Amino acid sequence: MNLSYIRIGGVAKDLPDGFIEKTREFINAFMDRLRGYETL
Amino acid sequence: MTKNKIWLMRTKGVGVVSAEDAINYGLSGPCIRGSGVRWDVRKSEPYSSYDEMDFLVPVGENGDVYDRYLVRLEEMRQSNEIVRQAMDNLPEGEYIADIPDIALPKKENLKQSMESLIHHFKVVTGGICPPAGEVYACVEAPKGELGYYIVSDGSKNPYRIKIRPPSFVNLEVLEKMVVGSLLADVVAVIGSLDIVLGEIDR
Repeated sequence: MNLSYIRIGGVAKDLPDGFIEKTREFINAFMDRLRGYETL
Repeated sequence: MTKNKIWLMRTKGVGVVSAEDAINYGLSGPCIRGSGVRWDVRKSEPYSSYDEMDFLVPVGENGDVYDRYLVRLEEMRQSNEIVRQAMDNLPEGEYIADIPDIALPKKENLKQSMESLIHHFKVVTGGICPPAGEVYACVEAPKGELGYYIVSDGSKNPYRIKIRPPSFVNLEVLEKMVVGSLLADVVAVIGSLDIVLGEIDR
């Protein structure tokens, strides 16, 4: 997501297919990774 | 890292700024919250859909490099939860407002509709003409309060514009934090202020 995606009044395009699934995947993986960073 | 002895020695008690000084210097973001001041634009003046989100604003106690580090770690967890809530409650509907004077038409219509092309041309060449007056709007950026103060005379170009970048203000406190301490600590302190030089070149 860069500056040209955000418009006054909204955004430039609808979310691409699979965006929500991939974001959920990331959200679930991130907590574990954060624990990993803390114990580096 | 959070419990690593070397990390603790290099960050605890380093670059301390008191809550009072943090407020007086106008710090914002993790830099002020590390000193125990619960200040967050997303809570004090909610914009977008932050008032519908359930999240906590973590604060530190000692205002040192270590507390700013802890605040940022917890903010990552909180942000993750905000994204989760956003995904769970994502509404259906249009992705851009239908306000012809301000918002551009949808790109997919441009090649098929003459009216959309004219609409696009008018917004891009004519610009947006807000009513005459002045406004300050700010958001809680990752580094702190990012604000724009705009004075409009009613034309498409702003009469005056002032940007309030968080890093520019946060860096001012550096001297207070490092004078009298080790040169090696300066690196850790600058890192904990998390500046972006593009915001400081004013």
